[in-house]
Amino acid sequence: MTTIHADIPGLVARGSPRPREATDTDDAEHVLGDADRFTVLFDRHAAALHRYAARRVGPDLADDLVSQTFLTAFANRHRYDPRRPSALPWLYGICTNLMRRHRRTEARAYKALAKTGVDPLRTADATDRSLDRVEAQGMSRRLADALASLKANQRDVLLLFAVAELTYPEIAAALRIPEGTVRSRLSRARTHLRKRLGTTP
Amino acid sequence: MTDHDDDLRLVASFREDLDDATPERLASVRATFLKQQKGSTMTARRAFLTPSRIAVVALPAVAAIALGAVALGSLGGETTPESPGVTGTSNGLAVDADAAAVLRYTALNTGRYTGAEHSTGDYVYVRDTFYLADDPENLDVRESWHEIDFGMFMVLLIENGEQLMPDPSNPKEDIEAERAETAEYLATHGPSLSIPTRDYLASLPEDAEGMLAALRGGHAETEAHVLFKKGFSVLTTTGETLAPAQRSALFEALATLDGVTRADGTVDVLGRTGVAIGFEDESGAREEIVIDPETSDVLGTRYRAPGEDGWSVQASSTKVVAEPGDTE
Repeated sequence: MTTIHADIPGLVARGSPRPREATDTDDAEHVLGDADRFTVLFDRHAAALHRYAARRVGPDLADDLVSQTFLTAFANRHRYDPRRPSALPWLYGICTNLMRRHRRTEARAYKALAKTGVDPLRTADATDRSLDRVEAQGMSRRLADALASLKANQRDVLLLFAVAELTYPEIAAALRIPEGTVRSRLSRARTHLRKRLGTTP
Repeated sequence: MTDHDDDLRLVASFREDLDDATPERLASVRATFLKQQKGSTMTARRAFLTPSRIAVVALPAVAAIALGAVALGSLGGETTPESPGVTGTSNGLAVDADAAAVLRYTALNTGRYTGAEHSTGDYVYVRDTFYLADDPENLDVRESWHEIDFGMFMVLLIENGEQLMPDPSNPKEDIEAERAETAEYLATHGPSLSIPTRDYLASLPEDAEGMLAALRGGHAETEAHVLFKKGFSVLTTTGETLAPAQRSALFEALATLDGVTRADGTVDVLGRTGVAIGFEDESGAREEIVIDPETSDVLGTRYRAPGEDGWSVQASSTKVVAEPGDTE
């Protein structure tokens, strides 16, 4: 679906109300309902959001981010575009915006991993498991270094695309930026990544 | 993903083996959300009942404009003999004219806007020169082409000479599927201001009330800032295809919206000077469109993120062309 981007003036984006996996009812019904109905959204999407947040800032901060994401979403539910059957991209956008308060924490963890090879976000068990994969660990350190040195807005787009698996239009809608900006940020992030990883473009 | 998507594959696998949140953990987060939600609802109710919510402020500039006290023809800052004490700008407006006054004045001048002839199969070429707030030294040029007759479907996007759409490095991209979705959407819901066709644009009303209804699109409760953004988007994309009377109606409709304010003085968007009119939403983000009230030309846009001082700024232009890639 192509549409004029309604959030940033002067730019045109392709925003897609594409259907996702089947749900009992469209999310819109629950977004626009009362607090009790809103909890249906929590039950549908909290796990995915938590996973995304935990991979960026760790599970403890992810707890706070997920509850804050739903709190913010509920307070702003009138802004939800009811043509979109899934609220997940919208929730990812809120979560990503809230995560900006923790940019330093996120970057510190990447840098620590890059420097020491130990990921501060992992439990001891998980660290032991990952240490079995020496080659993977080496690449993780290089990747962490590359992620740490990315501009924050490029990192947001890259992780929403690669980790959350949102489409260009979904990222544009989630971050309230034009799709062209999504594409250029992703392109720049990947160019930067390849350079830091030493892989060919 | 293909081999040249190794970087994306690597990012996708980063920390993939972290444990998922347990049901107990999610239940605890859920309980926190519900507790906070109940608390915030009570706070909001208390705030709504405070006396400051019902304060009404009369704006002197509005009264001045209503009385026709618009200073004409003088350069910025000078006092005009026609209206002593009111300073004027090169736009012929009082420098302290408020947003509504600027928009109403602009509505009077749409006859001087040179819109484009267009026919079936034409494209709108949008050229934006911009910098982002976090990188003001880096000036980018973005060009995009859109089918007028097909929901302004973007068929080509080039930034700084590099093709970003269709994306040569993303084999997952399925533009035909998106075209099919657009066709289905148009067939099901019909065209709208957001997803227009030429016939739809030609049928738009020529009065402010009708245009406001078109902006609302059947949703009577739509907030003012959402309507304003819609109007923004029309002006900066399909605006060139509007007849002068429709364009005038659009500016008049925007002038009726609450919460729209102008920036002080004139604003420079990359060498193009005009009056900035915009909206600050609840999050603190401010979006502005910069117009020349003398011609109703849209010169550019500005965006400031919540809590930040810097602006993302762009100068924009649109043109109707015959083929994607054409610039004339």
